[in-house]
Amino acid sequence: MKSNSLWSRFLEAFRAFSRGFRDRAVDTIEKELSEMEGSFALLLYSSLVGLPSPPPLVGLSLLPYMERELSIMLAKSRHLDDAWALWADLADI
Amino acid sequence: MRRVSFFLGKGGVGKTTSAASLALSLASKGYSVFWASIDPAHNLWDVLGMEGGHGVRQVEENLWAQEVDLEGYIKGFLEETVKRMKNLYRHLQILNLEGVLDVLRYSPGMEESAVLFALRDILKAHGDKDYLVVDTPPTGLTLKIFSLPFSTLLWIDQLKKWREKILDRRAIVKGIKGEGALGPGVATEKGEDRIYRELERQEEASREMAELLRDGERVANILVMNQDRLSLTESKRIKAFLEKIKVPLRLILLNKFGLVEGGEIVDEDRVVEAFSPLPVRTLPFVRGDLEKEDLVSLGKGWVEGLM
Repeated sequence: MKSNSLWSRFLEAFRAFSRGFRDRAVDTIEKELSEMEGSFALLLYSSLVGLPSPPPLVGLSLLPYMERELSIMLAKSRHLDDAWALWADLADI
Repeated sequence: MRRVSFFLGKGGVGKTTSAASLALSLASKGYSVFWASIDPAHNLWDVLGMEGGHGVRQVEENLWAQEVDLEGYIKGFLEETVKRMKNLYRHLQILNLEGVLDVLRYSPGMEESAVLFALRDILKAHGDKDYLVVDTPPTGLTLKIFSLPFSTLLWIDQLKKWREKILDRRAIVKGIKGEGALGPGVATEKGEDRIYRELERQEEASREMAELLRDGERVANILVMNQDRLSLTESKRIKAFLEKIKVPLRLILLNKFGLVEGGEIVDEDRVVEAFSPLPVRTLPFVRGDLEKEDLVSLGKGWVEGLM
């Protein structure tokens, strides 16, 4: 009985660890994903900030479907001057 | 369609006249021909002595012609884009996007894209004709048009790779955190991602044009020049550019041959040497307005080689 309860507590602790590691790993992937989605929009409309951009027709054809990526790009650019918040976010504080 | 002929060259060398000569000569031999001008400053109807306009007209028994309305193409494309945006962007319902159209219409690169769209449409709509003769704008714009499918393909290749990485990561997040972790309607597969599908659509269209331009069997690019030094220099530059993008030239037409107006005269041997091994044909200078019969007789000696 006693050993059973010890075993189940060990399993519970193991699951908690596993969940923690998994969430941590997904957090990193999610951050990477949002960087990539923002950069995809920036890559398409880079002429707005003076960088070489794809032929205008490519950017314009994709424009109707770019709501999510543009929102991410604009949110990122809004917080670019808040380096502390960005650092705190990356450090998970 | 057996073959498409593009007429390239410096402004004022006689591209439209040479194109008219080919179109009318082929039509007079019984072939069905579609003659299109993609020059924003058209003068196709002027050569035929007809009133201007953008629609397709039958000018001979076997010959149809059109001055392509590039402005109309750009306007139509932008209106369609704005309509799709209004349907998909929730916060744009009350914003007046039409005002943005005027700015986008004059963006760099729009005209070249419109020309390619127009060419694809012409090839689809008039694929039943034996020959398509295309009169192009002067050098600068034409070379941009010719290189656009290749540069578009390079960009799309990179954008697709980037998009695939995004979709991969989305799939991982969705796999671990479950449905709804990314928000409603966020695609994780290539087939369901509208952006990826649109990239594929653009890629297919650009590849179609790139393959056509490089296909020496289906396309005959004709370089028109005169006997002056500037014309020779610019023609050499066109040849070098086309070689760089691997688009073959078929023939050099030395137009207004015999018209000497002072300055350095470039003789035929020099042209033959500069463009060897390409064939060089001369078109004599004819004073005054050319009638249809004159244009047909101008085609003697070089049109046969293109059939």
